Amino acid sequence: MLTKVGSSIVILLATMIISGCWDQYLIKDVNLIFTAGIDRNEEGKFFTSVTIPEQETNTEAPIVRMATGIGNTLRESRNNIDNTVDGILDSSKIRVLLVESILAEEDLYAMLDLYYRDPRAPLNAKIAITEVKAHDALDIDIEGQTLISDYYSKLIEGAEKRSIIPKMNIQYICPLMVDPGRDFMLPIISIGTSNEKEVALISGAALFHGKIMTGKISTRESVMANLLNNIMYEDAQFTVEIAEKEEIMNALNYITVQVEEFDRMLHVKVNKEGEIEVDLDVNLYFNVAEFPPDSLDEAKIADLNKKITKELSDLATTVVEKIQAANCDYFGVGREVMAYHKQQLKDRDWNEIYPNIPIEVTVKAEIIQHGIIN
Amino acid sequence: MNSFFVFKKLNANYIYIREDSHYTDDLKKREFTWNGRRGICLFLETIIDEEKLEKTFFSNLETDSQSEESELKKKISATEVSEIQHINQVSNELHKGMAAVFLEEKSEAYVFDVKKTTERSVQEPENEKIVRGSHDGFVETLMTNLQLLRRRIEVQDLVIKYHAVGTETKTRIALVYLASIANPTIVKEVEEKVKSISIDMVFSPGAIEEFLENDTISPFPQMLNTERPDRVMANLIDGRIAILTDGDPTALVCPSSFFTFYQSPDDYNSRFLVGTFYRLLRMVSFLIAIFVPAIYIATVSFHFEVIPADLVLPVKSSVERIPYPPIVEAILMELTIELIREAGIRLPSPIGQTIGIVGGLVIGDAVVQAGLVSNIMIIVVAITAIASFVVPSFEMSSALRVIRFPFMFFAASFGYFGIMFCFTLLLIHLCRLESFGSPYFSPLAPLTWQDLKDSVIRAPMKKMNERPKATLPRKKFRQAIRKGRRKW
Amino acid sequence: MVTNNKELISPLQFIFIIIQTQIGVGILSLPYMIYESGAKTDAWISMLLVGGIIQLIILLYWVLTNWFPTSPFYGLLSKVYGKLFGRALTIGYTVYFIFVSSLVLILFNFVIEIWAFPRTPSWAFNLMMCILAYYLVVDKLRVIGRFHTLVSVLLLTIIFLTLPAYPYMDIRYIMPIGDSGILNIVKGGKEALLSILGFEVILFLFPFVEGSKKKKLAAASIANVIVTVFYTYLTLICLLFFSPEEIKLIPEPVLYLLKAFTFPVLERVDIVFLAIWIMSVVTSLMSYVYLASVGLADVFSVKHHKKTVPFIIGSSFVIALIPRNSISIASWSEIITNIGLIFVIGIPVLTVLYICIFKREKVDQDANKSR
Repeated sequence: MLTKVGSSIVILLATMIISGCWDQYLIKDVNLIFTAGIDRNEEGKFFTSVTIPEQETNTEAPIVRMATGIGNTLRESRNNIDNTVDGILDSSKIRVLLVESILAEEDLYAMLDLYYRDPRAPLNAKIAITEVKAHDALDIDIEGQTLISDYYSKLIEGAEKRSIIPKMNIQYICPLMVDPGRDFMLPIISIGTSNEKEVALISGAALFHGKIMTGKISTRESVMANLLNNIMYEDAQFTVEIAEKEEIMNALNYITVQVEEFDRMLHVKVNKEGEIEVDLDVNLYFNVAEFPPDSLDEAKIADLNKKITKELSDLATTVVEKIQAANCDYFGVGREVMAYHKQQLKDRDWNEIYPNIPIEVTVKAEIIQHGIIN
Repeated sequence: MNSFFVFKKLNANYIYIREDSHYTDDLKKREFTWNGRRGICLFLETIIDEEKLEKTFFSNLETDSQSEESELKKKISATEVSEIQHINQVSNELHKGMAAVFLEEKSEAYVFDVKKTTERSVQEPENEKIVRGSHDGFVETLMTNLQLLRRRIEVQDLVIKYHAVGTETKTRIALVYLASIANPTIVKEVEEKVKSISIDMVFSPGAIEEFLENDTISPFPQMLNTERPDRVMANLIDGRIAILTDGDPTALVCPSSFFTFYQSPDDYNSRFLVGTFYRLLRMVSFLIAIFVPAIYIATVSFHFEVIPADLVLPVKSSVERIPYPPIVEAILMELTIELIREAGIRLPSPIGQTIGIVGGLVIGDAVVQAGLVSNIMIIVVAITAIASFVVPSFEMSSALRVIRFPFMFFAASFGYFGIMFCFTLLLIHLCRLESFGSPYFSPLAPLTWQDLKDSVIRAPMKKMNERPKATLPRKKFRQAIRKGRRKW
Repeated sequence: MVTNNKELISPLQFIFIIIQTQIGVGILSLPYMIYESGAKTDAWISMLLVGGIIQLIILLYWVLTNWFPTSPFYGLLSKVYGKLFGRALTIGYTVYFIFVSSLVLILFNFVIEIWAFPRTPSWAFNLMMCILAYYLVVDKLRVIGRFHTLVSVLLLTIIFLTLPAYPYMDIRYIMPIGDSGILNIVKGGKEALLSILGFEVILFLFPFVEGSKKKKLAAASIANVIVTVFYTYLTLICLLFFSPEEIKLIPEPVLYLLKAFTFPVLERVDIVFLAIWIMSVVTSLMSYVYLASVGLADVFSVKHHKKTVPFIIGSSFVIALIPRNSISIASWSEIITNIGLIFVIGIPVLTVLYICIFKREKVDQDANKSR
């Protein structure tokens, strides 16, 4: 009897193998989306643009095809794109997602819900806000780079390395979007010219309050914002004006310094009445990257330290003001308060308190290295 | 069978033996006289060495005086001369390469060994080549093989037990073990199993293996096949038992575990780091050989989201124009490789190489050009084939090549889950398999830390103090002093 | 039934059988379950609490089996309660384990279906799991021990896969500690207890472990510590990575966590993790099938459990086929695990009390006999 059971199992397995492949999903049957852009058209519907690279053989450069579709939901617009292309549209390899800023100003989460819901979705894709239409940003021709996806992901990665924007992807922003005590920044992409050709550029960082984009800061400011949030990746540089009297040669008026080390302290003080005060101290230790007047001696360095400290303090204060004005709790003050001073917070709405709490920023700058010449 | 005594009449003996051996033509008779009495010498000319016969017997007859009758036996200068009274026994002995001397009016025959030995010289086995170390290998003659072993282990503990297997062929089989180390229960088990074999002939050690092993359906070899005396010696000293067959250069070693098949004498000749590296490499080759084609199939037909972003386009473009699903591609190429391999073995070696080149390069290139198979599949299949040949044991490498097919089928039906199913099944099988009471997948299952030293890695010699536990040896330690052995 | 030497397992194998039985289907959603039950960000405290409770239960099991050192739990039941009632209890346990086996299959299928194979029919995966379970369980307990020990290496991969989460974790998410209140933590503890059921295997395996009584207890405790630490670690990782608001949305946080990471060779590890997870599921399934088949063998006085395995596997397979949607799966799983509490904690506790009150002398006799 057992052998009969055994042989019937073998037969079942064999039929499973032969008739199987219920979920087979061959890579050759699909059209892989590498970048997607989300816009709103005049009627208020979603206008989705996707780029689909194709490569005939390994030796040839890939050709990028672009397809667009309109719909009431993002899914619908995607389905409409699917009607226009051969094969199945697959979003699991999206590397960069561009969202037009007016949509982000309404609700970013709504753009991303379909990605959070889909088990195959590319949660590790980069996400960026575009000041122009996302479709236009995807449509530019970049010399020597046929893959627009490569272009944007490397553009964003480059900005991350220089600490202009925090390293984020679709998943990493999700806890921050729903968390009342912490907010985040995303890169802003706009179109400029370089060498008389259209290029995309990181023009700053978009500030978010919860799921909504509420403001923006420039790249210089966002580097400072990151340092204040204890983030520095490979590099962070500032160019600071230092000359009292204007030199004719412009370069002599400025110094470019590179952050070598830094430490940041966030102190949140809450008194019994529930009044919140924040001290944000950051000590920056610099390496001189460019300083044409040269001959740095101790006196001069001390002088420079003072000037840089002052300049950067001003910068930091503006940054904090802008961030607070946008109600973007980038430094996680809310989290800090909720974690360590929950009683004092009582039932007050943090979103209403945050823009008005005093944040005292102290920046100390110090040059500790000056390259290989004095 | 009724048995007759040796007849006093010479001719009667001759006629009887002729009849008993069914009038075979190579039975020859040579007559002589001794002390005035007539005598005959019978032998099978095909099996004896005539020169030897001349030297041991006939030349002695002529030398000195023919004095007394009883001293005919002394004239035979063989190591062992037996006096046999039964005529049919004499007939049996003749067929083993003996010569029989009958004397008139004497009811006894003198039987002595004049066997012709044709033997290959001792040389390195073709399929178990090593870089350094001893370059001798077993040959077809049992005596020579045992001699090679005895010479390596010169102690009285080395026990050799003969058994005759094959009801028709009566092939001699030798069981070799070290009495002080090998576990007596295992020895007994092997001996009983050898005795219980009742087949007409022993064609090859592979057949004996099938009679002895626990699980014949399993794809894994459960006894180590080797032609290297040094390998057998090392295994004997670990407490294992070797079985040698007359007429075959292969020794079977049992009980052997999965990892025995991944050890090569080269490991011990090279430095411990190097030896460990190559042993780990072989382990990895095991994984590559069974997993890589399956993972590739599963990835391109189910889970392509795991392919890194920069690689996904090249992969996609290479499979884009292929008309078949990946599994068909894989089977096509795997079969081609197997064909090339099988053809290469049978052909003489210069042609074999040509086949390799034609098969490997020409077919590989043409098949991609024709758009039948993607070039990544060619890479996958080639890597798999190479990985499966890394295993030092031919049996294990054949097993690997068979195992990977179910992996591929399940990968094509259920993606990574199919692979995991097969892998789990494989692991369960390895956990269940036992070779003569010792777990096959030891030391990984059951986990034995000490044994890992000489299975997965090759620990430095001074760290390997204990014999593998899996063979249940009688003596645990292989080094007298465990700590501070180096006194300088 | 006297334990014969051949069936004994080493303490190490004992440890890994316990670990592999406890770590199973529940691993993916455990943090979510505890969080949702009210423990919120203190879910990890609930987990530790449960570890402590299980330690107490293990002690209880130990005391109970020490009174009858040679008889397995099923035999013990008939010794204590008499043939008829003991046998009835054995049948109860067997049925319970059959249902747990089928629950394992159902939950496994549910996850597989939404995460990776939406169209493959559930019977195909169930059949594969059943074949695996059958193939191992028909062999000796020692072989099961070997296998469970071998595949435990994969648990390390699970920990390894969570490492990229570290830079994105925020310790402040679980602050202030104990915010949810003791009541909620206890509530979460109940949920956690249901998720890590499986330690009952200790009760059944105690007589089959080599070594002194103390060694056995130590082995069981080590296993409990490892499981508790492992689950607490996963819970903490999820709580720290997802913000409290997000974790509410994600029923399988452990798996979801992996979706965001990219490794150089593999861009997406969640699918790889799911494949590894199969091993954890199948080991739990095997343990339950083993327990059920031993029970059935005891009921029908069959000498070797391998004859009863096909019936156990068959019935679990059939029960698992009854089609259900996600809501009924939830209630189904709740019913079975709640009944589980009776079998896992209720009956052993009652038995200990019963023996203490009524049967002291008999116990002493039995213990003496074994010496």
